[in-house]
Amino acid sequence: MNMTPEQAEKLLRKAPRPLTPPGLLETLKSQIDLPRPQSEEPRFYERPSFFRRWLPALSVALWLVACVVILGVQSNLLIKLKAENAALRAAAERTDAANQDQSRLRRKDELTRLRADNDEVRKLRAEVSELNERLKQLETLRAQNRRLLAEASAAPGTSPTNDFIATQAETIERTKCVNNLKQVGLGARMWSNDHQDTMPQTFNEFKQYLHSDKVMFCRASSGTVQYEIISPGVGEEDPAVVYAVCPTHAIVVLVDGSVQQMRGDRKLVVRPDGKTVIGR
Amino acid sequence: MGDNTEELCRRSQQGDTHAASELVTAHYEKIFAYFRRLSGSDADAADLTQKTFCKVWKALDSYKGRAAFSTWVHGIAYHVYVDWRRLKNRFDPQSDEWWLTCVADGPSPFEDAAERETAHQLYSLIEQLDEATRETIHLHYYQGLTIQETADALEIATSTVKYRVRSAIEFLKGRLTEAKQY
Repeated sequence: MNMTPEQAEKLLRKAPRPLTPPGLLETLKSQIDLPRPQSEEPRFYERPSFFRRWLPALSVALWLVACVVILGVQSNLLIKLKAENAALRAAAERTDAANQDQSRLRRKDELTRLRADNDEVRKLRAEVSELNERLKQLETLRAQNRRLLAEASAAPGTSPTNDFIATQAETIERTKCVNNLKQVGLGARMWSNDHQDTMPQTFNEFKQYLHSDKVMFCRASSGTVQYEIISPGVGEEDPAVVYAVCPTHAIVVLVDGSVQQMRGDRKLVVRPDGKTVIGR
Repeated sequence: MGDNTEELCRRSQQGDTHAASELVTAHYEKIFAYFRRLSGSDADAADLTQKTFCKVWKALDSYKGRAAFSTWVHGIAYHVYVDWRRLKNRFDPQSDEWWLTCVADGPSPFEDAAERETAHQLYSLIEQLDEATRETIHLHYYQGLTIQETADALEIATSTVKYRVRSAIEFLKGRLTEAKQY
């Protein structure tokens, strides 16, 4: 017998079903252990809270807000710092300009005063030159005078006199002394400008500021003497203080560079602070 | 039937023991027969049936109705059987005597003695098939699952099921022809 696949399948489907043992159904029913019924309401972990659902978005948003706030604060601080910086820079520029102006004005004043002093010195030099000329003429006149005196003494009933000539010679000496002290005062002030406004202690300190070493001496007819520094190292802040004096002619030079003659009741006075000034 | 089973499943998932009893009543005989044919022992088959339904109740929440409940239960039964075989290391084929007894018992579905003889030979040959093909034939023909349901229960492709069925039929046809010639 040849079996077709259909016949084989038909026979396989007719396979007998084994009988179940008695009591199996009851056993199976007794072993039913159903899982705990689920409630219709979703469980807590299945229905997250509003905060839990939006936590990622909220954290990102919070982070962004924090970044914006930080940026804002930093920008504000930056703007304030920039403004302060600009204000300080402007103030510094103003201060620099003011300092420059002040320094320029001070130099200008100093220059003006030095020029005036220089003009005065020139004038005095011219005067000295003129006086030298007169001195030469005076020598000639003196020689003529001696000759005339000799002639007059030879002639009976005449008395010799030379008062006029002696007065002129005294005037010339004093003028030279004034000129020298002017130059001493000028040199000392120039030296003090370079040394914290303090006048020099000795002539050697400011010798190079003088036109000639001869101006440190008074060549009077009675003899040559060096001018005396009576306020060595004094500051320039008090212009009335006497700096140097000529012992022969009683002519003084003050700290401000001016030269004065001690005539009449004028005399040198020592103040309580130890500085020498002109008094009466 | 299908809708009723789905309803019973839904109620069982909600804890209805009566519905679960009805599910057991409807399916336990098929599952027992499946194990009985494969294991060859009433006691083992009953034990495996109990294990299968225990797993069914534990896994009932995971049943989403994508496959028929019967298919889902057969899938669990298949895994229970595989575990049992692996545990007991039982690879011995089913004896012919059981089939003789089984075929002879009760009201016979066969038309005559010749057909009964042929069925006897056929069932004996089925037991000589390799394990995978034999399990496929059991589920498809003995348990009455469709090709798709068999594939779902065994978690294999339908084409694989069709291939195994075709190769089994060819094998049976060849062996029966040889038996006639001798």
